[in-house]
Amino acid sequence: MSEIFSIKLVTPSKIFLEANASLVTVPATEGDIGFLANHVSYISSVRPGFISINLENGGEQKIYITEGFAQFNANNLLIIAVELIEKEDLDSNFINQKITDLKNILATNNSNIKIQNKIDSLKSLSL
Amino acid sequence: MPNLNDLKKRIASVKSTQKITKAMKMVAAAKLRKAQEAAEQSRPYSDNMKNLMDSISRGFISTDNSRNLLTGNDEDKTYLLVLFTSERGLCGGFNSQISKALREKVVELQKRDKLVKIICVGKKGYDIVKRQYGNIIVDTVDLSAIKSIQYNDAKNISDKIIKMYFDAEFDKCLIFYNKFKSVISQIPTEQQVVPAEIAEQKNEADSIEDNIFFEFEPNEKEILEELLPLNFAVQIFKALLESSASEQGSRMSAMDNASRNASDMIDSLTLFYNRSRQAVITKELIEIISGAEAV
Repeated sequence: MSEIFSIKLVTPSKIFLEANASLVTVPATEGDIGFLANHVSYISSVRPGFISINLENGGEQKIYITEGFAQFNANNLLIIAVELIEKEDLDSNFINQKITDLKNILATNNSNIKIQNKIDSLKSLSL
Repeated sequence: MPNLNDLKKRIASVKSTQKITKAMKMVAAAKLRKAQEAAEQSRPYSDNMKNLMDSISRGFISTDNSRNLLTGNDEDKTYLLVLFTSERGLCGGFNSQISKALREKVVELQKRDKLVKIICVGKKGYDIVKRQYGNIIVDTVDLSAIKSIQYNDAKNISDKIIKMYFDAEFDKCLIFYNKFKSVISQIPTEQQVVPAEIAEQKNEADSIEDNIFFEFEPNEKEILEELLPLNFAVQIFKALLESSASEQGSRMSAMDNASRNASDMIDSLTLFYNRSRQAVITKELIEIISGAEAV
């Protein structure tokens, strides 16, 4: 049995999830990061994608995140996000809508590499 | 002697007013509960956001002088004041007390030769300040179509303000809102949001707890660039929620007072009505008796 640590996912409207996990993979801006217990203190921004959580009881949960931040400190992983959605509740229309929105921003905000990256990571999502 | 019918009508009209104020009080109480819940649910987000901000910005020293939301741009000329008020009236001193706080600040800033710009969120505040400061109100935000405040509403406002900041339209931004303390007490609050106010922790920085060394990805500067607008939106969101809870609280106590006044008024009017009616009866009796005696 691997060691566990506590995770907390918060959005502006509520605490989305508070649990204990053994492994959490977060789609960080510069590549996915897997957090295990006793990870070094870490702060990273998050790109659009799925957070996958291996829960203490062996279950696995996948949650969509639009953008946000992850902070790991003293065996507490905190994920702050504007929007979190369970993978099961997601459909492709939603993703397409996000892509269109970002493209509109991109059109007015000439060639922002960050927004382009976000579009790319949204496109690569498979449901 | 007032006409009995007129008195009756007055009592009826006060009664119907009381019905309205009572109903408004009930509605405000229900909305208050909702608003308080929303404010409570957003608290973990804003608290955690603040912690994150603190841990990043503590060691961060801006190396260039470009405009950023954390440290400002060393200039201190133009102030943007954002006033949060309600869309509807009948809520006691809610709108006037916060507008008064804003007015005092404007006077103080103008005395120091600062340029002042105002954004009004909510119609009532605009109505109050437009007579005096109509020429420096740069924008108004209408929230009348919104039933319960969502994060996106706050984001729209903050996006607008951030754009203004990077267009060099102001140097410092202060927000004015009523902080919800209890149903009978709302505190007019002035808060600086640009540059961001980071709690001074220099003394505590020596303790081990605060010296946690974080690894950053991509790097501090880029994270801050993304985090600051979010943090700013959270401040606005918080102000909106506090303000809406305060509005309902203030309305509730105002309507409670009004209902109580109305029932006092009904009592005294009814007493007066009964007395007048009795006087009329007595008068008629006296007339009959004295008429009979005369025969």
